[in-house]
Amino acid sequence: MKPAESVVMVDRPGHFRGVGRVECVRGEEKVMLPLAAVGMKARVSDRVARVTVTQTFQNPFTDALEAVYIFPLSGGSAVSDFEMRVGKRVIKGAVKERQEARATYAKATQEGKRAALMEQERDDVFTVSCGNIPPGETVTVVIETAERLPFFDDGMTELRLPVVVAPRYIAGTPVDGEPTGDGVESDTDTVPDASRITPPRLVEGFDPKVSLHIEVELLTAGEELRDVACTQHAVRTSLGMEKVAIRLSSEQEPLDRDFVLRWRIASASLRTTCLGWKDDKGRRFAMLSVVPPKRDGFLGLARDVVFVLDHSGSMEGIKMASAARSCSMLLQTLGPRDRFAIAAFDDSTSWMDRQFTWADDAGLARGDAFLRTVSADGGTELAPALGEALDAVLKRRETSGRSPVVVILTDGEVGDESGILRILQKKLGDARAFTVGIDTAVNSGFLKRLAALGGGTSSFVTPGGDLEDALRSVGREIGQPLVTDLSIAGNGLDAASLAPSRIPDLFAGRASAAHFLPTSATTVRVSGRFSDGRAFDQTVPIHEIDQPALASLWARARVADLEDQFRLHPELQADLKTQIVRIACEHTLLTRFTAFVAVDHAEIVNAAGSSRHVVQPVEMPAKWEMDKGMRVFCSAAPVQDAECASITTEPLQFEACCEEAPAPSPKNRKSASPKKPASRSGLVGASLSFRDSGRNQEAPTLSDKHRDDFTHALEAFAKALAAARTESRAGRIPQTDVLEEARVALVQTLAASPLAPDVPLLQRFLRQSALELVAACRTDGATAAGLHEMFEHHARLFESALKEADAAVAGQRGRRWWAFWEKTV
Amino acid sequence: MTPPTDDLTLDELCQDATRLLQKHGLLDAQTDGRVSDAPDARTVRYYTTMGLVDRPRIVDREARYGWRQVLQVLTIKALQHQGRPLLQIQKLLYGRSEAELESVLRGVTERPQQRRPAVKTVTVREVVLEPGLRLLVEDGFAASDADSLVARFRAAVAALSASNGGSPS
Repeated sequence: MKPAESVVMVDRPGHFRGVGRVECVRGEEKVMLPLAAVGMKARVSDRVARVTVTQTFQNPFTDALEAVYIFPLSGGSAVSDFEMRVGKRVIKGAVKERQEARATYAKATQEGKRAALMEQERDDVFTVSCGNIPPGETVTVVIETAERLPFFDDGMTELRLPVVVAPRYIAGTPVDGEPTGDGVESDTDTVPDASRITPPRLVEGFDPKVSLHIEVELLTAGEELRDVACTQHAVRTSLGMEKVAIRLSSEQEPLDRDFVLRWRIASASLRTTCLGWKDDKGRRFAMLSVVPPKRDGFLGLARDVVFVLDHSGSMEGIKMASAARSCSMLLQTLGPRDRFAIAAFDDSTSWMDRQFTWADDAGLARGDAFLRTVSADGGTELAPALGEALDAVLKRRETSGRSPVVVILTDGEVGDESGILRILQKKLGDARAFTVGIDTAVNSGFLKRLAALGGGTSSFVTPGGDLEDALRSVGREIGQPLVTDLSIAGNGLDAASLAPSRIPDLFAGRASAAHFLPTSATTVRVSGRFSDGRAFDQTVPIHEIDQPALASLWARARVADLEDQFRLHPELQADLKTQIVRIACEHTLLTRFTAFVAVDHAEIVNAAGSSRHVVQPVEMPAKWEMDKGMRVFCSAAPVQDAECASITTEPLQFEACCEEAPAPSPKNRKSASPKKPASRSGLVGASLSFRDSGRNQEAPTLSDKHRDDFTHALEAFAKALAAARTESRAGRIPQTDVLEEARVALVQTLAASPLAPDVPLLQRFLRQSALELVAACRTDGATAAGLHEMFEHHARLFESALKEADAAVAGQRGRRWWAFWEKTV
Repeated sequence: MTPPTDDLTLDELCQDATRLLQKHGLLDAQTDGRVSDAPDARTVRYYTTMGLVDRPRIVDREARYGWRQVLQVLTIKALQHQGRPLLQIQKLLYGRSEAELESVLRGVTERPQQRRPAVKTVTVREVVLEPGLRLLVEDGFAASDADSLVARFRAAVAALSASNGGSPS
């Protein structure tokens, strides 16, 4: 392999590209990251939390910026509104089928308009892309979500607001082709969108200066709230007549752990309830919360419990200690009639024994001893471990009168959730699966869904926190539920609208909930079966309240049901997808199959089409001790802060040449100037790399005129480029006016052409390489030799771009269209 | 003829970067355990998780790197050679274009003298003689004769009490 000298021009004084300069300046330190602020405001009433999330993006650079932020929202929450704010203007986002939304966004950014796109990657992982933020400006996006809060019969309830996507273990082998996203991991056969869920990490100690504002209002409605506690943050609480307000004490908190708030409602009010809301079209939505009856004594079946314990590298440190201790505490809740097995997994699964052990004193002592030997290392291969555990419970010989249980203790930080859910769905049999999530920033969406599909419950533990308290109910729950086979009935009630279609079984101490359309009903009858065969029967009035979120919560629950079927039945996928998109569009709901897009048609802010693409790097979650070996690179030699570098990107040195630039709109002259620093070419924006997405519907068709316009503009550009290259070869500094004109003309032709998404290489060349070439030629002190070298290098890139363009015009697309999001449901 | 630098394996990327660093005097023998040593595969992957080196292209299920990534590794290593910690390097380089990276690299090579002196590590043990009075003992300390030590200690305490007005007996 030949060396790479030609690209490194460090030893040729006088060779200046001249596009942008980074200077190290002492003293003041400016953070050059897109995300400036995150705000979360939650209002809780009737056990429903409505959360408004605001994200403010800034552009500290001197060229137009596309900011990408990969972030979490509470798992299972319904995202029902999205808007973009530019100064005082509000641009409402619209829900569209995901492919169409991506195309709309790509087109708008091509045209130089501000635009924002919000996509859902997982139950709790989302991506916001914010295109064409002009230099020095900010754009804010506002997201509305709603979620139903879990609660317990002692009145305890919990609100969890995640703020960081933790590193996920990515299983599988990397696959060829255009990446689907902007993260740091390559897409694999097992996790086809790994690059969408793996944001870059900040180096330890890097303060990204993102201000965090969290405020929670608990509307009390006359009830008494007790024991308000925030387990991971310092907060200030103020008590009002009708509400309790809790806010973060400091806005300088790092975004490295979930915000978790627990409180208790005086238990007199804890009974089965049904709340209803009617929208302006007269449609009614209801939320049913069933509270289990008090249980006397122990009447469950004997249990065979497999504990599946995650001891992968991400669990290292206090998380591992907490996980092992949680497992040990759950062991102690077993009785002598029960049996257990422990499977600890990282890259592979190791079993305490290959058989079940009686949970008598000797067995428990052996279990404890095994747990003490477990240390954290390796990958998170949960899928095979779960498969083995389910096999173990299904292959037991003496099964009569013993209920099979799998308890999974993990941080859930994996990328192949879909595959794991599918294994559970296929192999569950009569077993029940429970999850205990252990992390400061847990993958709650996945663990909740896993437990819901497993007919069990999910609980969450803060590492190093009060395990006894958090696991108090889990020990009671593991095993047989109190009430099963719950269903609803009533006059004028649409029973088929029930979502989830099976109301979760009732476990001691924990309320179950479901949503339905009451149509004209005023009461609902809930019936089921106690574990001893007696009938469970309650009739509850539907209590009307003012809570529009009930509509989106119903829709979200419905979509979750459809997604579970989608995962299991490939033959039904087309139909299920149509149903999901229809519900999502009716209820302006974000799903895997739909996305929100907002376009600011008021002005064109980036006519010349330069683009810098930056993904917001995020914190490592608190108390993670991964990759200690790598830490040595973070903590290099001590350097005094006074000498810390900060960056200024200087304007280019050839302002005098401004006249030749295509006239940008006067207001945004600076941003529209083509003579701005070029952008990162490797992480070319989502707007430019939509090649994989193709167009399956509603895309404009390619007419002969489009084809001709494009071919002519491309020819003109190629000619101008070749002329300039010849000049440089002849030892002269090329004149670049014609080249720049041709470049702008081609960019604009593309913006109006359906071919735009099919030529990512050309787009990249036009928006980056060509800009650099022009700028370099116009720089003082440019040498013909240096320019010649640049032209030769870029000529190779251009050749590939030309090939791609030819194929696009001929209608041969490099890769078949596929929707990666359908693989990760 | 331009070299085909767009098709490097991870090892080749490291080799190319190492050779260029050597050529420009940005690598030297490590005497003090600092980190401006040659880039290796593990390091490059680590830089990738921080968004400092672009994720590779995947060709035939293998990672392929290009000139942009060579430039990124060079710039990181050049700044480390100057004694900058990774924290600063990420602040300086995150989200930067190639032209800007080259500009940084030029800055380093044109001012090679700016390198800071190595920081010497000294290990000490601490002995608390009484609250408020600590003794720091350097590693490798070998006591000289005890009497003269005691004498010197007395003198030191006397000097202390004279300056403080205190009187430890």
